[in-house]
Amino acid sequence: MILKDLAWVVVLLVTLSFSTVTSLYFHIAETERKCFIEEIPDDTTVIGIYKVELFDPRTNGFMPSSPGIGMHVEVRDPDDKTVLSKVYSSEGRFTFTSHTPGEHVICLHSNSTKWFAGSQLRVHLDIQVGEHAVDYANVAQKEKLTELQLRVRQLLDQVEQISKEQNYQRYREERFRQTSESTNQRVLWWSLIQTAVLLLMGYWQMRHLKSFFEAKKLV
Amino acid sequence: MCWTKYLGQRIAGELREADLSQLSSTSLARVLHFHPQSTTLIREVSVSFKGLQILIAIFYRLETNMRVISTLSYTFLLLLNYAVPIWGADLMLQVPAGREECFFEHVDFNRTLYIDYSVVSSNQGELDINFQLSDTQRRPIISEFRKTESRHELPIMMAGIYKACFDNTFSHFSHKTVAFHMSVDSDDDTNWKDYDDNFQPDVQVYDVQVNDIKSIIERVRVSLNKVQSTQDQVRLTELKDRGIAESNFERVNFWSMLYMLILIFVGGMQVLLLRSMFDEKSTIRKYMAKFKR
Repeated sequence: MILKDLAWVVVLLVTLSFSTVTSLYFHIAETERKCFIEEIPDDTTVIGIYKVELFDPRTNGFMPSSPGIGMHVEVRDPDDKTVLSKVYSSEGRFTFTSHTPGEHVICLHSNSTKWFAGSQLRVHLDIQVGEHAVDYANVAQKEKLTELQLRVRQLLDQVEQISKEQNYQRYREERFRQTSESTNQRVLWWSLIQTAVLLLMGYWQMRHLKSFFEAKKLV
Repeated sequence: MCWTKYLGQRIAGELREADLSQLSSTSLARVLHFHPQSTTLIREVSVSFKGLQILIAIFYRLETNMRVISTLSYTFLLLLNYAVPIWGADLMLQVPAGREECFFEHVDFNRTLYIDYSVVSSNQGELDINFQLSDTQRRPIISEFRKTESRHELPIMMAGIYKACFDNTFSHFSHKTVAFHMSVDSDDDTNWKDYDDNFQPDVQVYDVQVNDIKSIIERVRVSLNKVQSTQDQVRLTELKDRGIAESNFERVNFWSMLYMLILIFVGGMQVLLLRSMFDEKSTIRKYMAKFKR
């Protein structure tokens, strides 16, 4: 039994090490900082999988593995508080769970201490949100689920994510409406105030000039 | 099996009250914390929910009647792990004024590349951006000039690296926030591979039912995916509209304030000028005289 479990772990580890990151990538200079925005409901898990490759002038290509290059990952929540700020190695994954709903900013930059942008970095990045971030292979293995059980679990998670998103949408809609209503109110009040100021101004001008002309004995 | 028990307990009350077939779709929706007012989504999902209810009910009964525990085969795990690399990404980023942001994606032969983007906000001015997609030889395939949003579906005939660029070099002050999605064969549900042969059959006796349930689950999944993509679209539209509403709010405040100040200033100036015309000793008159000379 223990042997069987061990075999499991080995298989898992071997297969995990083979799984690659996404094919989407971009280039940044060594000192450059790249930020992405994720608008998510609260209590939602976000997983970022990345891999950094350093440009190699000798081969005119990118080195598949670049030891020494680290990635500084910084995540800020809508209130501009730091949720995560950590230096990772050249390849890895970061995870965080949102506590406040809204726009989370994920910033990546290399841990290079150079003053000037030296060489270029190629960054592969994949960001998964909500139930997409769950590794169901792991879940199935841990809880010994059959296919049906796993499927139903996936559906449940998905539905839950949808309802979370919907709650957040309701919340945003409320804020949206508040802004619109406030704009509406202000348009009204500003125009009333401006009319009042205009009338007062006219009245004051008349009175002032009248008394001025009288003092000057022009009228 | 604890989670199924939990689920079972959650809907046990519902089950006790009503026959399985009569279980209303809203009851499950309630259990799953759906707000009853959100009828549009419910309507869309309810068809699929019907299936899910029956499925969960049957499932729960299977659970209690016999222990359906089967070990997973190693091959299944292997396959699942290879299913983890996900095609495509949903990203949102800010393109500063005068900058260009590029992304690359490797696409295999005979696949379809899906790209859609939308400029959701900008600190001032129009919501537009230049977009260019170049093929493996760096030749542009798609060039779009100052568009707010667009969607493309490209059959790929040449394997290699495709480059997508968002170009904001035409604006000098306005930073644009762009949400984009780039994927290969996006209808490929990566978290939902076909594992049929890799699982041990759940229960031999219930084979037919199990297959029924599987097809039901499949349908639920497809509908839920549709719901999610609609939700994403709605979210982006809402984000854009909110940006416009907020900039309107600021615009109204700013311009109204400015007009009021101009009003007061002009009013004051009128009086001063008029006074100076009839006043020999007026300072403004002296200045004006100086100015004329």
